Amino acid sequence: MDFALTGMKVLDFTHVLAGPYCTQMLADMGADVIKIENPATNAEARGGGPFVKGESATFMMVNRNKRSLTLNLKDPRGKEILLKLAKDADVLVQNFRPGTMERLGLGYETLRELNRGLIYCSISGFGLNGPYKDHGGYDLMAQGLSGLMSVSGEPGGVPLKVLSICDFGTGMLSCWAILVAYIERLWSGEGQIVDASLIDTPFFFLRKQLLEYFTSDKVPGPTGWWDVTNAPYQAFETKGGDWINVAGHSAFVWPRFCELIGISELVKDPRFATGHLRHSHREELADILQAAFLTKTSDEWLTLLQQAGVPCGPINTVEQILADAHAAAREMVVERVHPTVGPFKMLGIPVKLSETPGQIRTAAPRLGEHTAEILRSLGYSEAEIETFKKEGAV
Amino acid sequence: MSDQTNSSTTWPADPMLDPSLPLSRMKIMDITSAMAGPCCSEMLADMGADVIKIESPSLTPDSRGGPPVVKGESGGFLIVNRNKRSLTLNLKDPRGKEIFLALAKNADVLLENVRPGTLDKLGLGYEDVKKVNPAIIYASISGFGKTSPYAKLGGYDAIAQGISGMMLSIGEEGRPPVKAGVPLSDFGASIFTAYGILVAYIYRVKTGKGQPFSPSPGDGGKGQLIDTALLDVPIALQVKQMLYYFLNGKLARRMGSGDMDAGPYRAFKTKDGGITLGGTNVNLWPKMCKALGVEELINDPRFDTPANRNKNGAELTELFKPLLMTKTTGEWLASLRANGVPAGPVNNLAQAVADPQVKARELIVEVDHPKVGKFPVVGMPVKFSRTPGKIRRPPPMLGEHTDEILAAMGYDPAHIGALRADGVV
Repeated sequence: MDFALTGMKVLDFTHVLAGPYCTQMLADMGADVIKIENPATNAEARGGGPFVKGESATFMMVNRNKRSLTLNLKDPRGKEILLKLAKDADVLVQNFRPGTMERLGLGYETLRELNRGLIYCSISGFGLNGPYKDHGGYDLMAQGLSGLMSVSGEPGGVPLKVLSICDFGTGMLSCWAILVAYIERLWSGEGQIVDASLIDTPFFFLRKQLLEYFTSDKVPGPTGWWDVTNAPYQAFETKGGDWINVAGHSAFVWPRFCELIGISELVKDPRFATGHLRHSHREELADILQAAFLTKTSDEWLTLLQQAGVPCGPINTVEQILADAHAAAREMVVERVHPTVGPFKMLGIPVKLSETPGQIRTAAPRLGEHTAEILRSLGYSEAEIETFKKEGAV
Repeated sequence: MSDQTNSSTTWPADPMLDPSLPLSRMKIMDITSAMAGPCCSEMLADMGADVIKIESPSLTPDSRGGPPVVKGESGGFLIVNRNKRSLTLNLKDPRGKEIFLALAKNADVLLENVRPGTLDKLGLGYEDVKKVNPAIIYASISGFGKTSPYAKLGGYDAIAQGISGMMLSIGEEGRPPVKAGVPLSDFGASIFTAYGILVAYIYRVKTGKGQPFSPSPGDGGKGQLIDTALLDVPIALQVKQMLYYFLNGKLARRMGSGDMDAGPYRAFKTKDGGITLGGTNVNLWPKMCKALGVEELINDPRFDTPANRNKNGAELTELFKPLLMTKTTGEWLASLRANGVPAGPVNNLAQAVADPQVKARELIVEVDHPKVGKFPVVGMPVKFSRTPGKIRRPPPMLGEHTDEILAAMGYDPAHIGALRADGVV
């Protein structure tokens, strides 16, 4: 099998979720990712709970396809090994607080002198500039500060955290940026700094709310199971207390949707004549539709709506979607054997490429699993490796 | 019934291309609408790609995207289509199809999110385009993907959020399902597809003629089909919820503003608003207790380790709730930040946009649209030190560049006029 990113060498100094997710996306497509870890670290600091047979399971969800090299960067020998690797690397990704790499003597300017093509990606809470650049920040802070929490949840309810979307979104966006810089480097031969932050990411997702705010000057609030701009495009309760999602909002679908639910006079109702009007009268509309949806079960409605070509779907639990034929057909769950933990399930590659689909080759590495192998390939002797280990340099 | 085969085979390059931008060699045909597709091609356009948006001549300026309508233009269009040119083409007309294939012959990437099967029926599916351009990267975004049992069904962001389990993963215990306020499946699909396209482009350059670094990377190389499903996005992003289910076969609790395995990592009400606290790990816990004036909790056996804080998280939350209400968000933040504890306000969007960090990161920028005037849009989501992206063009008006593009392809004004009169463009 061909891999699109075969030959790309990545040094990965990341922990928690955003950074590891970024480098995992590169590793899935064939990049050689070496995770540099502190030999004194433990499962708690590596990725936190839950733990399986002493390993951090969270770590295992975002570090597959990588090798682990332990290096004590405060030991001159550890640093020397690192500089050898950096000289030859294409990409370095780190998510320490701004300034930490510089203190270790591993800042961009230093490494650029060794390797002018190095793409140096920094992932931080607030980015490399601005008044908060030195603050630590997590996904939760970015969700709160950006307004993302204020638009999720029920009106009047608590502000809602949406998954760890600032972490994963930042991982995804920094991967995109690294690939852009890598392509540019093919022509220019020059690397650069790629500066991603958890606070930038939510704005990428907030553009519909920003549009609403900038065009109406109304501050958008949480919309529960509604949508910001479309109606009816929401969840309805059905007979038996279950819920389904229905999208009858488009001009194309609206007439057949009205027909199907048996209220064809809605099509002529001037309150609901255009998409804009349907949205401005969405509460009146939802009341009418909700009453209709209570007359049949979810399964009955989904069958009818699908036959009529009205986009719709069940509201599943995680258990239900994992058992659904879709998850299997899309290979959204894969299992690999971890040397300590044994068989371990993780999530598949979320975009399907026909020629270079990528591959999940290995489970996440154990701490320092590949230290000796990597040092050998750098030309260190077995005796040297033993000494380094004994003296805590690796 | 094509009246004239156009002999031009060159791509009608954007005269406003900036060759210093990283993707300035990449030529993209964009047959997308709504959010996921347009946002994906915008990410590539921001980095310099030459994107031609192909739209139906039967559209109207206010029907090209979602509401609200801003000075006659669809607002939903304006937020995801900058840096592109617009060409109107009736793909059901053989002459429209011919122009489409002439472009496809020289494009690097074709991105589409029209209803599944539509382009195949028109003879413009992957297999058809591959015949005229074997190196094409053909990216397709749909509700369920090409290999799903639901491949033929239409799907939207909210539907994906519901089916994926996400609407029951977020929210609060015992409450009805809620959607993430933002269209996560849409914009997530944009990023994953952009990633797929860039990966495929690198592969294509590597397998192309001009090894190792062709001056014109579009020449030759292996193309491929990229297939993204909106539904796969929220499945892939529920990493922690899925992990818990894989490990013990149980559904994770819905945690509102909090998280499953880190207490107290959640939002609290304060005297005048809300605050998020992130002082949960071994190093930060004592600092946070100090900043909040509850040093006695540092070694309290109920809360002294992360495992104990997690086990007794509900109790800790109940202790923190009245405590946090005693001061304002600003007062708490000053104390927490002075102690190096990650914390932040719970802002509404107006407060967020006004935040000095958001301004410093240039997260909101303006485009100048000929009809709408100055219009705020989201800035670059990642910063590049040497080749920052650039907003070269505002979102195009419907068919704004039709004449320019056709002329560059060798069509004379009379011919273009005839095509327009017949509704082909």
